[in-house]
Amino acid sequence: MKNTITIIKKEALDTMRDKRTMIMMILVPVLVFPVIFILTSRLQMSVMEREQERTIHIGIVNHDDDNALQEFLGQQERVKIIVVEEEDQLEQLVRSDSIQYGLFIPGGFARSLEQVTPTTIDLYFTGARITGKERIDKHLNDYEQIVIEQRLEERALDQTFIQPFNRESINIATGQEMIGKLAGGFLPYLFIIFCFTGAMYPAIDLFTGEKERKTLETLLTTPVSRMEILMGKMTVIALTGLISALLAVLGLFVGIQVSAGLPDFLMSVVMSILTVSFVALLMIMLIPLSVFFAGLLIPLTIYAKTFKEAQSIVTPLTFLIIIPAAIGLIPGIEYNLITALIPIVNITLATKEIIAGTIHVPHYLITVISLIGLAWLSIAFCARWFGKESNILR
Amino acid sequence: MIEVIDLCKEFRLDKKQMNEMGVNDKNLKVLNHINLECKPGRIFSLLGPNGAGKTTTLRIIATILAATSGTVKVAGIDVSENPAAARAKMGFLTGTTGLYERLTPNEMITYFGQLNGMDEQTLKERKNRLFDLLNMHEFADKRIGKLSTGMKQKVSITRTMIHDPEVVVFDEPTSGLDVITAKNIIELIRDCREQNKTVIFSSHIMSEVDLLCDDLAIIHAGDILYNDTMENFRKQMHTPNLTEEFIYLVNQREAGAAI
Repeated sequence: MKNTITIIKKEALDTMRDKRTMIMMILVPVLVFPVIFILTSRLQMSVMEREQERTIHIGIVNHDDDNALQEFLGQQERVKIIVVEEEDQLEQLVRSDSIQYGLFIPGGFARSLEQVTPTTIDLYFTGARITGKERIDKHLNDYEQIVIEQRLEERALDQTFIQPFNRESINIATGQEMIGKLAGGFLPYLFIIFCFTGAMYPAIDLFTGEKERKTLETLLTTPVSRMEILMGKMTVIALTGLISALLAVLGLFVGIQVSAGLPDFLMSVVMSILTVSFVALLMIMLIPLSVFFAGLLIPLTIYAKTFKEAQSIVTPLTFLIIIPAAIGLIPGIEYNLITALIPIVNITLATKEIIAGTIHVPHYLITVISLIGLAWLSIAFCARWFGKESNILR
Repeated sequence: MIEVIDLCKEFRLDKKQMNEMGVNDKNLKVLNHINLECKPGRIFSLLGPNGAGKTTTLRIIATILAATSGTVKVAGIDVSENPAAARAKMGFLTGTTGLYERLTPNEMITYFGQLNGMDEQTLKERKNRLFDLLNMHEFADKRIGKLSTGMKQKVSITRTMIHDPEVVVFDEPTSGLDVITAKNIIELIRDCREQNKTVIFSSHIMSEVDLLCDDLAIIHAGDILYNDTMENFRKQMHTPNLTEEFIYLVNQREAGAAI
C-alpha cells in the first residue's frame, strides 16, 4: 500500500506537469461549455436583435380593388411595402433578399371578408431565415383579429361566441422532471465522454510513454510488485477521468449560468438540479465508471509500443463509448431491469432519472453493483495483462 | 554474488513474429543451459554479439523476465521465489535507460529511494552524498528534460546506486553515450568493485571489456562459448587481440554448428 501511494504521488505530480493532459483534463472540460454557451447565446441574441430592428420589405401583388390590408401593413413599424406586378416575381425577390416576404392578395379578397366567405392569400418567405415568418405572421394575425372583432361587433356577438371555453392546462410534471426526461440525457453523455477522454492521455503517458521513454524497465527492477505499480498508475488514470467528468459537469452549469437568453424559470430549475445528493449519486456511478475506463485503456496502452500507436488504437474506442452514451439520449428508452445492467447506457438513463427526481432505487443499485463488478473485472484483466512479459517488453 | 544455474529461456512467438524471423517453431530458444557465477568485488563481463542473449540473461537476473527453467540467485535469494527481495539488493542500469523528464533529479531520486524502501533520513543522507560525489547540486531542482546528456547520466547513476545495492547489473551501459559520459560509467563500475559489490555488465565493446573485467563469459546464440577469468582468457588466446579472439570463437562455434 505504501508503495502504491508513492507511485500515485509521483504519477499525479508527473501528470500535472504534462501540458497535454492538463489541457484535456482541466481546461477543455471547464471552458468548453461556458465558451460555447456564451458565444452562441451572444451571437444568437445579436442576430435576433438585428433581425427585429431591421426594416422588413414586404412585396405585395394586389389583385384586389381594396387596399386595406396593404395599407394596414404599410402603417406598421419598420415595414416597407414594395408593390410588385406579377406573382411569379415574388419567389425570386424573396430568394435574392430584395424583399423578406411576398404577399399575393387575390381579387375579391375584401369582398370575401365582408361576405364571410373563405379566401386565401399566398405568403412567400424563406424558412432559412432565423426569424422565419415570425414578423409578418404577427402583423397578419393582428389584421385577422381586427376583421374578427368587426364581424362580432356587426352581429352584436361576444368574444365567447368564437371561443366557447377556456383551457387551463395543468402540467403535473415539475420543471426538474421535464428537464430530466427531455434533456437530461445530454448531461451523462457529456461526462461519460469527458471521463474517457480525460483518462486517455494519462493512460497513454503512464504506460506507453514509460515504455517509449524506457523508464518502465527501471521501475520493474525496484522491489515493488507489478500489482502495486498497476494500482498506483490505474488510480491516477481513473482520477484524471473522474476529475475531467466532474469539471465538465461544473463547466456545463457555469456555462448555463453565464449564457444570456435563458428564461429565469428554466435557469432556476437547472441550478436546482445541482444539489449535494445529485453530485453524490453521480459520484457513486462515476467512480467505478472511471476505473472501468482506466481498465479499458490500460491493456491497450501497455500493448502499444509508441505514443502514436497508442493514440491510433485508443481513439476508435471513443466511438464505442459514444454509441451507448448516445442511446440514452433517444426518447422512449426506459430505465428498467435490463437497461440498468447495460454498461454506459445504464449511466445515461440513471442520470436522467436522478435529474428528474424519479430514480428507482433498486434499479440504481443494480447499475452501481454492475459498474463495480465491471471495474473489478477490468482490474483483474489489467493485472493479468500487465503480468505478461510479452506485453510489457513488446 | 550472482549464481546462474542451468538457465534456459524460450520465447513464445506469434504468427507475425514467426513470419518475420522465418521460423516454423513457435518456441524460440534464446538461452541454452547457461551457468554463470559473479563474485563480490569482481567485475563480470558478459560479452556477445547482438541477439546473443546478453540482455535476456540480465533481464532474468533483474526479474524483468522469468526463466523457462533453471535457477538464478542474487545475493543468495532465488529470484523466482522472492523476486522483490532480490530486486531490493540490486541496481540496474542500461545505456538506453530513460528518465522522468518532467521530474527534477531530486524528485526522481527520492521516488526511487522510497520505492526501494529507504527511510527518510537514510535517503536524505545517501542522496546528499551521491549529489556531492557527482557534483549534482546545481541542477538537482531543474527539470530532467532540460538537462544535458551528461547530467542525465549522472541522474541515472544516482538512481541505480541510491539504495546502495549489493549487486549491480549493467546492460550495455555505455551504448549510445558520448566518450565523456561513458567514462563516468566506467568509473562507476570500478567504484562498485572497490566497494566489494558484485558487478555484472554486458557489452559488445571489446576495449571496455578488456579495460574492466575480472571474469568473462562469451555468449553466442544462447550458448556460453567461454566462461572463466579474464587472466586465463588472455593466456589461452589463439589470436593477437581480444576482438579477433572473440571473432575466432564465434566463427568456430558457427562452423561446428554447420557441421
